[in-house]
Amino acid sequence: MSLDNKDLIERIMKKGKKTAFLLIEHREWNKIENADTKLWNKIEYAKNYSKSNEATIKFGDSIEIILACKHKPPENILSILKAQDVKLKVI
Amino acid sequence: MPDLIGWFKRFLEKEPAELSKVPKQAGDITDTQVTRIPKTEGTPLTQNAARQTGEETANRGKMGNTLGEAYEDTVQKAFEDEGWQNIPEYTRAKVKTSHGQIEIDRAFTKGRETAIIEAKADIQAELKRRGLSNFKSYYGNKIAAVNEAFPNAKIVFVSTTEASPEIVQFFKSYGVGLKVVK
Repeated sequence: MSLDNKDLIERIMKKGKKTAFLLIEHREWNKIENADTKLWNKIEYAKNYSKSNEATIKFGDSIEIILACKHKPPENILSILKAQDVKLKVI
Repeated sequence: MPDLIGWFKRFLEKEPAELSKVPKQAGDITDTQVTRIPKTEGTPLTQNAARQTGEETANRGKMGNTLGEAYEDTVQKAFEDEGWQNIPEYTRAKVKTSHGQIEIDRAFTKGRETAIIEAKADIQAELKRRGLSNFKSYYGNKIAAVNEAFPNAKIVFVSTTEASPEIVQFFKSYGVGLKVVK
């Protein structure tokens, strides 16, 4: 899965009592069209999903969102992650 | 992918990474949400059931899993190493029943298991493709199979489009919930 899957949550993770969404992107960032917009929308989707009736997992007041990617993101992506308080893991 | 193998070697030698340092509040997650899929035994596949299963698998492929499974496994492993565990909110299950082999998406709600026989399907397109008679036959069989495999599960059909009253009634008669997610 990737940022181009508009309405899918890749993974929901738990660690003790913490819950997190895991977003996964394996492509090179410069090859993704409108990556910043897609990422922003997906983060918003994850946040809204956690509060919606559609969610079958109980989330706390605050959730964590983690972006796992294969390539180091450019500055515009990093600024989105900072603004949305999303953790980054480049693997 | 040699770079990932190298990363793993380095990863295993390191202290837990920055993710473990983030203090946040979160809700309780019950054990029921990470229940593993039970294996059930049944009769061998009929040709028709096998064809349908293959057809579904092909359709799911078209839905677009653009990442290779190996990469997803690597990601999963990386986070497991950091203490994160995946919650199988949507877990695909293949089980054999007397109604043939079925493949369903399973979800887990707090305290009760929910079986999703279709996730994000366009019910109108599905009806058009199969025809009313075949639609009822196919899903009647599938619901019976799910009931056999997961007798305690609440069954849900998730559609991206509204269904006609006749189809709503059809699912209702089987006790299946129809959830429209646009």
